[in-house]
Amino acid sequence: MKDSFLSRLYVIAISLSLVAGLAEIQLIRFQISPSFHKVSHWADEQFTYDKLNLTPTRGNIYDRYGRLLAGNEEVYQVGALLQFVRNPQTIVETLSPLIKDPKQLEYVKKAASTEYKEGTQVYANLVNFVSPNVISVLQDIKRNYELENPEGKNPSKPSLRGMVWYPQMKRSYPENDLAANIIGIYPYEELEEAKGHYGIEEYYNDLLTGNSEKLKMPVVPFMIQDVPELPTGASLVLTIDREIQAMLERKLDEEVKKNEAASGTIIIMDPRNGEIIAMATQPRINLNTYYLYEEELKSEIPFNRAISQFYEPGSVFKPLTMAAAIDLGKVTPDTIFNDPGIFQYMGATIYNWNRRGYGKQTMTECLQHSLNVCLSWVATEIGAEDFYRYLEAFGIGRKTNIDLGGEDTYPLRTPEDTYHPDDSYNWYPAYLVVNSFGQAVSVTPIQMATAISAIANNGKMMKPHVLKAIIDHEQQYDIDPQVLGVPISEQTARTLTEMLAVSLEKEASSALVPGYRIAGKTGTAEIPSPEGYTSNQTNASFVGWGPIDDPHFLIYIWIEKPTSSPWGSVVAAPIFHDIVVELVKLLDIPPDEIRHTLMVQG
Amino acid sequence: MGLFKKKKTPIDTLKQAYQQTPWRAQLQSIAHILLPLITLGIMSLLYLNISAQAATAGMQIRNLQRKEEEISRQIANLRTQLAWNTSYSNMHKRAAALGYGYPDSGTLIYIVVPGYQGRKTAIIAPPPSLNVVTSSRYNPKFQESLWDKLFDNLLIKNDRGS
Repeated sequence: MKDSFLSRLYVIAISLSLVAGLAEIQLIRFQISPSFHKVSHWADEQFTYDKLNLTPTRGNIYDRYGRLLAGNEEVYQVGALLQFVRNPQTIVETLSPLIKDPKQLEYVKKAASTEYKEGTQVYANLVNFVSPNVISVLQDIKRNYELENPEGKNPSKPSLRGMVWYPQMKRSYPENDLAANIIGIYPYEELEEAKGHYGIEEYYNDLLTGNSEKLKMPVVPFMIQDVPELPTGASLVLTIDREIQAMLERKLDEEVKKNEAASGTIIIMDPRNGEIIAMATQPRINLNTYYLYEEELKSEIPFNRAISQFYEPGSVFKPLTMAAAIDLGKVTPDTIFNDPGIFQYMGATIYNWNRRGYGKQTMTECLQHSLNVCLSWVATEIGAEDFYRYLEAFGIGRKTNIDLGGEDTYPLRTPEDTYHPDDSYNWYPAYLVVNSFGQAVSVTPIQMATAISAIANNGKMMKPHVLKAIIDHEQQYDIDPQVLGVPISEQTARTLTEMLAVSLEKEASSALVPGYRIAGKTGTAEIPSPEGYTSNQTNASFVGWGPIDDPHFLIYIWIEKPTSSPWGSVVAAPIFHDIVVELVKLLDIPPDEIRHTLMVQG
Repeated sequence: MGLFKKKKTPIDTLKQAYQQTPWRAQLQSIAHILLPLITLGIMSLLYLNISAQAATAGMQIRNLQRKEEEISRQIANLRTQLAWNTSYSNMHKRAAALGYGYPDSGTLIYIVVPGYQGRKTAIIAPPPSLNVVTSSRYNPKFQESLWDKLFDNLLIKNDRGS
């Protein structure tokens, strides 16, 4: 009896040992056999790990006081898990009110009816960007159908089995069209392919997007892997002030309508640091429904005229000519020029705007009366080489590199440009005098504002920019202003500012604002056609800044083809006045007298 | 030595009397074989237990990750909703409805407020700090193998004890 028991135990022990031994041998084989390594790797790929594509949420855009201009909102993607779909017709009928495009409806019909085949497609994306409210309704409908037809077993009854939804983020612009030309477009409907176009969305696309990551995550729950905390794309704080931007856009729209103009552009800049406080132009689009403007966006009209459309600026260019002459010591504010009303140079005949001669004029009076003849003479005193050297130093013909997508420029024609195959790029000696008062030279409004800001800011020209700070990894990095150059001396800048302030005061310009001493210059530019300056249409401009002893703002105004009056002094100067009246309140700038008293008080 | 060959004594015969019975000796040898197997079984049970605990923790972590993603989306959503509610046009309408408006320049009074530096621009996040610590979000014990655990807890502790 005992022998039999023991022999059985022996058999069990030997069998177990054999099994264990075989298992050991097999384990050793797994370790050393290359084919098993391959199988193991394949099994890992197929069953142990799941590929995960982590896409960060696009960063927010704020105005200078932290008010959200562009953010993200939660919506849903509705799809079908084909394996579980029982009644595709119900899915199509339920979703059809959400689909306006007949092509998309056809796609949804086809996708929902796709037959499930193991190992092939398992999920079909049906509709994107469905609002949470609609999802709530869909949820109720699905639940009711499930109660009536459990698991969709009865094909004659409706069932939404297999229809699922997943959250997704959609770009959202709470201010609609406010600052649209600065912010730019993010075509969120393009899903993974989407990237910013124009403005901030384009220029800082990489920063806003952040870095997406592809991870291999274990499916097996006890294989815990550290998932990196996925940061959102960097958020941006702009230099733009929402209140001022809104005021500026409202004012621009009113004035373009009142003057029956083709369009308009106004820039408000802080000349001390190059910050763009507001920038308004037309047309503007509601960024939330960017897809409605497809045709307009394809047209030749630039998305942001302030940085992309060049034009001949006219007399607002004269301060640059005068700055060069004063800086070189060729003239002083009191230098007398005897204006005969006509000036001939290298085949070009120059007249004043009213074809009158003004007789003896100081340089300040030349600016006050905006005399083309006088400025032509000044340019010849400077000489071509120095004149263009100064224009280049002011950044004319070169992009300002403002941090907005879509900036454009027109090359400055200098005495070196004489052999270009396209004659429109060639320079002729007569250009020296016509360029002196802003003809035959093309600039964008941002180029002009930047160049003139050097005069406002004691000779120092700051780089225009709209980015104030970057928020990345929950830390705020403030952006330091950059100096673009110092085209003129501090003394020249102060002298010219005083000349322009005096000329406005003597002219009793409609740009003047009681209580504030400001400097400025009007501009009226004829619009060239292939036949020359034959059109009656003009560009009316004004550039001004203040308070001149401590400039906080520089305003550049361009009203395109006004029909109420062709003159900058009539069209653009009053706009400057109106804007400054509002602006000083929004920027908390007291009248000069009060400001000086307050400064004394401490 | 060979000259003095020892004769068998009665004690030697007695020794024979104390030998194990054959079935006991067999049982002993079987036990020798089974002991490692039982040890292996206990270790497997231990391993299974720890794996089960790790799996539970893993599931909890995944749930928390999903929750975190959900909360992040909710935060982004609420921030945007707040911005819609406080947009310029909405605030303008609400202010107008409450009888507020922009003041006329003539009615403005400026006063000196000691210490007031003017309106400050947005500070949405703290400035960059040099003390940035980047570390794993999980307790390293979650990724510890059974061997690591035994090695750390038993061997190292014993070393310290001695």
